[in-house]
Amino acid sequence: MAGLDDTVLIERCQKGDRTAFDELIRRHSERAYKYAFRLTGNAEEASDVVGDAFVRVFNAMKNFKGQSAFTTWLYRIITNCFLDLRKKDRSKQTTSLDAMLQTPDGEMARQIEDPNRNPYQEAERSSREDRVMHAVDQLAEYQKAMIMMFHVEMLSYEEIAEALDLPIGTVKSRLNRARLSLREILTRDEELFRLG
Amino acid sequence: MNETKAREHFSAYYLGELDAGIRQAFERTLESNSQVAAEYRAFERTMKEIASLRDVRVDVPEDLMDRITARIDKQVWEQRRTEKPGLATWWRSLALGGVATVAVLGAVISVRNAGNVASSSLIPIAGAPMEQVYLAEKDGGYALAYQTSDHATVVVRSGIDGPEVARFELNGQRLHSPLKNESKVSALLSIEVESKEALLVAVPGTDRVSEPKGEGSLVDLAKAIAGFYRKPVQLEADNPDARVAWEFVGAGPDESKLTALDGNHVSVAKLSSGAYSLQDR
Repeated sequence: MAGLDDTVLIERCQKGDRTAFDELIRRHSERAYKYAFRLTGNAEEASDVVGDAFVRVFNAMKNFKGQSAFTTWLYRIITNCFLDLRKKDRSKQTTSLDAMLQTPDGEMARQIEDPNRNPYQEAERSSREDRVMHAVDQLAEYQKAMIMMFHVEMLSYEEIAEALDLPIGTVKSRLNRARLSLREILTRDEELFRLG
Repeated sequence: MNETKAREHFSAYYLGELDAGIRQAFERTLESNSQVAAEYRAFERTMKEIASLRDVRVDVPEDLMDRITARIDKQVWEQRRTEKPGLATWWRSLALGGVATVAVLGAVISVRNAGNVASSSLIPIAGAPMEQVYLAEKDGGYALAYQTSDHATVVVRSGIDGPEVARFELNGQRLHSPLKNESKVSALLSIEVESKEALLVAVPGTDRVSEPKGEGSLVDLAKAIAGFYRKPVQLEADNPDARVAWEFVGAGPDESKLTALDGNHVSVAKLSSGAYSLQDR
């Protein structure tokens, strides 16, 4: 099974061969998890996203016609699972900021984390990678997905276009806008460092 | 080149993707506009910093594969648990019950062996193709028919990806199995020959559908037609999940109003057997 091409495994899956599907999971789950982790920044969420994605792949396998590579299709599904997760998160975030927090010791004021950390806190982000990750986290979700696909997963414009179902020109212009946004965020962060 | 236009070209210039003419115009802007030049230098630094994302280490959980397969197992189990039991049970009883089941249900299935029956019973139904699954009309009912000159495995599944409900091993035999759905609602059967999908058919349930209007997938439409017009429907679709809206008017679905919601073509035709064929081709 391990020596078989993805296309052959997919054909076997489409005939109901579960061991072929397990081989596809074994082959692609690590890369899928890393991509999901980079999107979510959280191990538990990354596991959920990858689990959801493979369930969707399993259910849709019969309709997969091979117009794109299996990996491109998988990226598309993982990205959709990530976007769905964030959509669900947003719909849950309805707690009033003024609400008091109930504790065993009585009520206490809810402490909300200030997203604009002071320069001293920012200085704790010692590594360059952390700083860039923090900046990427502030991008819109689809921009984040595009940046990860191009710069980390090393997908081509064509593959990203297929994965996100967008024209190549749109992928290029949106990637440029995402990079410009990153430049602004990183420049702002640098100024905070200097102030510190 | 103005500043806004120049910014649009930052990525393409950095990656060496600009045409010669635009590249020269961009470079002239960099030389003449210090603001754009400063922004581009910051952009270059950003591009180098983005590359550092590849160095971020991600530890993959050791049990990741187990977690994923467990999730799929759970989903498959839940899907099977919620399957409508009527049709599946009927098929399974046919497959497992053999002669006794046939007696109870009244000759609902016949797999005839070339060596044991009169030769006239092996003559294909007029116009019926060999090596092809089709719906045959007989005495007002419909049967699943297949004739092969060689060995073939015919598998019937409930739904497109659903569980196997019947399996027939044929060796130069003729399969002629009446379609009967004892559940209340229409059911979709997927028939495979030698592991390849050969026919999708919606079979009406015991209750007639009275609602003439609806919206859903092509599978939903096939079931609705079967339930409303009380005839099996062959589904021939490249994308069974394509969305469609319908309104049944007239004597048959071929006179009804069908609207493909995602731009594809959808049509329905009456077959010579009286069953219907629903297509998105």
